[in-house]
Amino acid sequence: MTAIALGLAVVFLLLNLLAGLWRIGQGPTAADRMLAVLLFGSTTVAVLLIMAQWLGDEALRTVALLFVVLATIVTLAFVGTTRDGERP
Amino acid sequence: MPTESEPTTTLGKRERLVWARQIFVVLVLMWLALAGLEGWPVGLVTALAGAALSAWLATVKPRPVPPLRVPSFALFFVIESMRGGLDVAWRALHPALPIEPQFHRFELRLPEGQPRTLMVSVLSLMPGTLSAELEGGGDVLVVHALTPGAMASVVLLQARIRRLFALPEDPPEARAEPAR
Amino acid sequence: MSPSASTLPGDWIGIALLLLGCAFYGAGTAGLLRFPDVYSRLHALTKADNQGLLLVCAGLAVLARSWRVAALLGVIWLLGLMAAAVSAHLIARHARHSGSRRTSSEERP
Repeated sequence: MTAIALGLAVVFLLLNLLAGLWRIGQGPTAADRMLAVLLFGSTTVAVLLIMAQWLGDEALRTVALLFVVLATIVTLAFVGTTRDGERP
Repeated sequence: MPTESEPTTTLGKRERLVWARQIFVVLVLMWLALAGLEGWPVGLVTALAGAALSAWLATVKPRPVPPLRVPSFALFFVIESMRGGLDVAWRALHPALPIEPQFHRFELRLPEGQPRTLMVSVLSLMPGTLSAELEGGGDVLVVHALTPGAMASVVLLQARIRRLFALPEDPPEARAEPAR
Repeated sequence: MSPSASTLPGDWIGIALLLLGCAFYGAGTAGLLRFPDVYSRLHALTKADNQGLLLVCAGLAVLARSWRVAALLGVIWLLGLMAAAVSAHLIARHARHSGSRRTSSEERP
């Protein structure tokens, strides 16, 4: 039962990610596209943590930790390098 | 957090020590959470190095936080952020989409540095508010609110942050004006 | 950590928390799809997804039955929270500087 629930959760979260990415692909502004970073960050972390429990693989938790830290850095880089219409 | 207007005052030795102590405590706690006591000498050295580095790089005056005030703020934060999640989830799923998004300007009554940084970051997790931008050299926070009523979070959060940093009880009347 | 057959009574609590967390992720995505402007969509992503992450972490901590794992999950949640809060502010500021200063609904006095 636990395994089924974990599997369902992973599938559900991945579907969420797909739906979100489709929406973000439509997004007219750069800021809309930056939402992808947020979405990816929070969803992949949850997926990795659930997979870690599912497969009993401790290493995946470390990967999740790295993802969380990287998400902030990626946003910083994205916002810092995208300057459409930035006021001086 | 890069909030633009931090004055680059030169910090005294004692202020840098306060920074080092704060960062050291945070890093040690993090090591304990991640690795327990396993390999603690490495953790100790790493935390010391991190503390030294941040003391060296610090540009703003540190604000000491009385440790006894942390739990109550943490509890407030957890409860409010849960309310925030519940609130936005309900609005997103509601068929009628009950939101009236709008910008407000809020004059901050917090000293520069950590209190403001905390305000700007935490506000985005409170019910219905999102800190959009700092204006006027960092004195005015532009808040995006999902509903007009959400601005109450801002006043409340500011009061809690003042309490956390042991600042005197403030707002005579904190104001939030509509803004473009 | 036994990813297999028998489901202990405590596991049901973990499973319930986990699925509830997923529901919050779903709500976040619903907001992303339905809200009318970037700022409102940011609200949905930061708040709902972090509530989701909290519940998923809580559920997994119950399922793992290990303090070490629970502590690690706690740190991951806190870092995720910081990441979301900082990112949300940076993205909102960027959006304002790029000229979309209005939320899409009417401005109200």
